[in-house]
Amino acid sequence: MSWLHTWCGLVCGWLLCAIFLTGSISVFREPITLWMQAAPLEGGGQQPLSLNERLQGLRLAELHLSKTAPDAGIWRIGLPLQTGEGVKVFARSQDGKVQASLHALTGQVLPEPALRQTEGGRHFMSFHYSLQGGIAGFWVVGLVSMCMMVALVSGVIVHRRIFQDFFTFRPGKGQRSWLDAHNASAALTLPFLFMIVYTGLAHFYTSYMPWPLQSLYGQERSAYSRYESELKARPEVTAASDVPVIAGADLVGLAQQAQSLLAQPVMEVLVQRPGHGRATVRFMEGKPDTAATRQMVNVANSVTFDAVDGQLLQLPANPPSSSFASDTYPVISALHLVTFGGWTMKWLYFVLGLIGTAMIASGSILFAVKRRAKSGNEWGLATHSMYRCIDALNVAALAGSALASIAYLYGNRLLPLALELRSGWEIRVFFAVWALSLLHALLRTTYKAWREQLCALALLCLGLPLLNAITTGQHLLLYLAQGDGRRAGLELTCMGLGLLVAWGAWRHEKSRRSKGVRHPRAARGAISGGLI
Amino acid sequence: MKAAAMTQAQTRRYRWAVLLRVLMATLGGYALTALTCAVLAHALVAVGVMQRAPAVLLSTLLSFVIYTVVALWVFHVRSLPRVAAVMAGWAAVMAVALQALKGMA
Repeated sequence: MSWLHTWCGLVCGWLLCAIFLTGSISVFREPITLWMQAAPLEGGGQQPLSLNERLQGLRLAELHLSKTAPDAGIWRIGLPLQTGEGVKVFARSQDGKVQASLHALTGQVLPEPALRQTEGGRHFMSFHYSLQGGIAGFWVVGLVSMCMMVALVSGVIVHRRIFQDFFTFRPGKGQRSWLDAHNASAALTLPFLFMIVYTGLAHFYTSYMPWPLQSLYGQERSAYSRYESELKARPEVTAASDVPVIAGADLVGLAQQAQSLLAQPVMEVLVQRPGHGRATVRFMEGKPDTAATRQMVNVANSVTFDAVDGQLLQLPANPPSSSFASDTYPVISALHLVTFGGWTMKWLYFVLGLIGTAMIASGSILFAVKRRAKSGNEWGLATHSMYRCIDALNVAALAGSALASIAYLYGNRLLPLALELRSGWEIRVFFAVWALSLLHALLRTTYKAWREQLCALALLCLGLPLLNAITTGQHLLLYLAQGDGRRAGLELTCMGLGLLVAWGAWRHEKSRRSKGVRHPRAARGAISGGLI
Repeated sequence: MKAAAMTQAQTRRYRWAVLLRVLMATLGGYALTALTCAVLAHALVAVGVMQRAPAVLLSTLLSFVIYTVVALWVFHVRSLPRVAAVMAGWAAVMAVALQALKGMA
């Protein structure tokens, strides 16, 4: 078991580290996207639109779509909540698509907002589950996640005293400290780690393990949708008879009715087969405020009408029905994607994810430190160079992936705006910096590689608000003054992490110095650097 | 076994044994898990505990736990031939069970 834990952990640890880090960052993908798009600041004075103004927007959107896309298969209309926001219209037909943003009160087509073309926070999520490498990357992540399951179970067996060790931390003692750090961070986050790895695999359950599904439903493409519809069979329709039917109601009339049924502002309107005899219209409420609902599964409710005669076709079930079949998967997904509990839960996931990253990294570092003290001679004559490579990979896995992530934000601000396929270049910056970090770690001694990369990371994190102020003229104080908590929060978090990294680098330096004084000879080589 | 204490021939044999074990745990473990979970899904329906959609759901969700246990077991058992024999035997039993259950349905 000890052998399995060591090698399974070492081989997968580097990738896992990057996957954990980007996963933790993805929790905040919306603020990251917002920051990266760098929309101009609104200048304040935004006021909520009244119901009549919103309905006026809907009327204008319908007018616009019936002129520009009369035979589209689907219309989608996004209604604004505040002044200054446009009515988003979208239509898709066989000829192509229509997409525009309209002024809510005049119906004029608004100019495209000056947003930076970017993948934003989604990049971290795509990397997290596919390493940006398509199907192959997706399977690699699956394999590595299974290795993590194995490493977790074998780790609990190996570090049998893990729960006692939780109360033991002996800092500044080289190998012992790394073992304690590894144990303490693992014990602290163990339930979270099991949960997050398992729900991560289970989120893609029928993709990773399609055999039970194929065995019962057949191999055809339709198998999954048949399975899903059987699973979801919840009594949703229940069109109540006590709702008065407004005969031949128009879109605006139906919207008013939908709003009173949902008891929430309607945010999106979906018209299927507009102008057709069998047209239906669906009104959706906005994304629920997950902090307020106190529920695991938060879905936006909707009401559907027959668009021709105004007949109510579907209502949200009240109270929502639940069963093993219909709720298990949504709960698993919600657990992994933190679509519950609001910002508090997101922060908890972020911090636990970072501690998990540290746990994985400290395991690999522990291996390197241990072998430096006493070589295992695993690769015969090549053992020493292999240890060098492991050291370099450790640096690249932790410091390097963090550097790549912050460099991605720098790329967003520094790459020329006119660059073609700009969002792709931002992702290339991410990978280039990661590769450079590995190269740097291979060329420098281990101790210097850690020191230099941690210092660079701290500087980049602390300098982010400055970069933003220089390149876009927006900065932390402006965001705070505008009450833009998400963009201000991103910069503050980066600065906080920068300080944390700087403190770590300083501790690293200090402990090496004190070791050096006590054992002047041992400190000479890169090999016995005390801590790392 | 410590690598330092081995002769070259022993080292080579040890490395092949490790590779074989890794393949048995990953590929063999996956195949075995897939087969077992398919049988489990059919069995849940046949016994009448569940409809077929929740049966697929439950067995697929359990697959990741089963896979973990199989992989750990492959590394836990000392004798490699024994691992191979048990895996082959289990796969045969599951294949027969799958055919029988499919015949019933």
